[in-house]
Amino acid sequence: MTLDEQRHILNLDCGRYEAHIKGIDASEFPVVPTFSNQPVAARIAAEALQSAIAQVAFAAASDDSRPVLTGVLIKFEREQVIMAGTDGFRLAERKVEVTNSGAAEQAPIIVPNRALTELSRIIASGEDTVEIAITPNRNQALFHAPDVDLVSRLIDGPFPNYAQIIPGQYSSRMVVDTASILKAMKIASYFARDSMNIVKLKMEPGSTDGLTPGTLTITANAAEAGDNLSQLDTIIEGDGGQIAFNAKYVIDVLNIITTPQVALETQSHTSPGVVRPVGGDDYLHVIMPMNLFK
Amino acid sequence: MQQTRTILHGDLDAFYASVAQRDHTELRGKPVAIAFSSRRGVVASCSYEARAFGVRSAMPLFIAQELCPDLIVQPSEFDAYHAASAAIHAIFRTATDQIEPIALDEAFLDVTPVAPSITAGAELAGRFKQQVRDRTALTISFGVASNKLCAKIASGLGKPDGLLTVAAGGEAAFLAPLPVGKIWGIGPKTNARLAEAGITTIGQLAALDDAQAATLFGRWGQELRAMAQGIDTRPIVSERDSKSVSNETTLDADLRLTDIAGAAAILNELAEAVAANLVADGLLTKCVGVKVRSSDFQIYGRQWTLLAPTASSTVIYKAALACYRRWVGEMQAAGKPLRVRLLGVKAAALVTHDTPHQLSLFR
Repeated sequence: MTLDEQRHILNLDCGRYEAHIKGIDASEFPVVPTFSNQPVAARIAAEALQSAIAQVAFAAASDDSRPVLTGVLIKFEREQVIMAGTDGFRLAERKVEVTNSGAAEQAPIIVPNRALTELSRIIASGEDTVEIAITPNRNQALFHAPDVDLVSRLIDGPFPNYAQIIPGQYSSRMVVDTASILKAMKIASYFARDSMNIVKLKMEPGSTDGLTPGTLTITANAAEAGDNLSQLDTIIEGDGGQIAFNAKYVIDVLNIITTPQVALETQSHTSPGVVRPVGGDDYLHVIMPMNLFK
Repeated sequence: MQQTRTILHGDLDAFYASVAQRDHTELRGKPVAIAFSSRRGVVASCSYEARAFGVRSAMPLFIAQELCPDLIVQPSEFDAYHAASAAIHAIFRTATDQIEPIALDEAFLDVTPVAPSITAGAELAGRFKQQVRDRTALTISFGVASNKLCAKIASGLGKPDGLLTVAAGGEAAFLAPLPVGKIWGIGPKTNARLAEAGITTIGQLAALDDAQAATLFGRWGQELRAMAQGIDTRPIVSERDSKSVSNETTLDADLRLTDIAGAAAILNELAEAVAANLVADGLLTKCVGVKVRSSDFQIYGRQWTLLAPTASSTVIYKAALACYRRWVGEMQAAGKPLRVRLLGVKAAALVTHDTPHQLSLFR
């Protein structure tokens, strides 16, 4: 194997086999920005970043009819970064503590979902930290970990002002065992597959003395496939009620909830439902229902 | 000569109200009105007991309550309506896949292959009525005729629990004594204009000559008179044929491929027109397409499937523009220096408003 540096040709020679592979001048390779002079916008524990990406990235849009939604918003605050992803039907928001609290404040950035998923795969977890820096012209971000650097373009454009669609109150709050509801949703989703993935949740509060638990009834049916019903004991504050969701959206979020119990807060059958891990206030997930009950 | 068709029009009797009376025994035999929470204050459906007092659908609730002080107003229960509608469609599908749903409670069926005569159609309709009663405990009225117009009018005349047939060849005679307003497309305005001209029955309309028809209705005259004569060749548009709404325009001057802004402005207008049509028909689209005729006289089409059905002009416009950009990219990649002669926007994979659909976080 010989390299002709002048003509940028790699010559391969092996017995009766010979090949010449044309190359390009190494100086043509785009300069990978190193940001050595840029202030670190945030320093985050690798493990926390990985879990945040897992909890947020799946909610970003997979089709690019609205390019900003294919990215994850990262907002920099003094003590934390806030990451948010939405595809227009659901929204995930996770707060992650930074280890360089008090860093200079930066305007938010939108990082392509794919870049973050890639980042999550290549950074080693453990005790490492990941630093985020942004180019002065704000069109690229550098993610710096001890063994690896990842540079990503940033998505330009205003991210939807999602704060206004997060319901500030609820008329019903249900707390249920995460594993049980996930299992019931998965079973229901088989029956829902042929009927637009619709799964219905009926929440009935228990007795006021607390002796009879509340009941969550999950149903799905398809004209051809049949129907299914499962009931779970729950704690329900407020009125209860009925709401229909795309089973996929509910399963997606339950899959990344790590606490043993999960809460669903609802207002009406046409208002967004809020899913929160019980005992963790760093994550929330909003799902828009299907309009089934008029 | 075209073979005579057998068309059925099935229409459930006082659908929403009947479902309520079926599911809530205490409502049986009582005047009941259904009001949707989304359109509070208007009667969406009412039981025959309420109709006896003069209560009608689309009537403001307060008027209905004046006419019938004991009126029981019930909220809608779309879950039950969808279930009943699905069960009835399943019954229909045992005989034909040529089903054109008009609403949850109403559909046209072309049953010619299994019921080649009106008599056979009536037998089939009788069987459907029994099956609907057995499986859903609801009553349905059928009109059986050789075309949609007569079948629909017949099902209405036979209500409730009716089965009315119009013999093949007897269409004009069947229609003649009926008021002109029974014909599709004749609304109160046209009705008033006809009344001024002394035309009140369909028979009078059928007897007009070309000149009179043209003076009264312009280009539409011929078609309308044909309808009045009982001639209606409109086919059954089954769900599988999936209707679409589209709008296109031939450009005043050819557009260069690079002039995306120029195309965007036109697509925006077309999208608005398409969206307005969807809204008027109570439909939502799940698939937006663009049509392009280029300077080489080729017609290109590109489409985009939406994640959730919509009737929003902005969403339709954005999807159409995305399709157009994709097409431009392909043409440029292929080195085709085309110009654009015609642009069209199409909304396909339509669903009705009351079809369950995913709601959006951002409006």
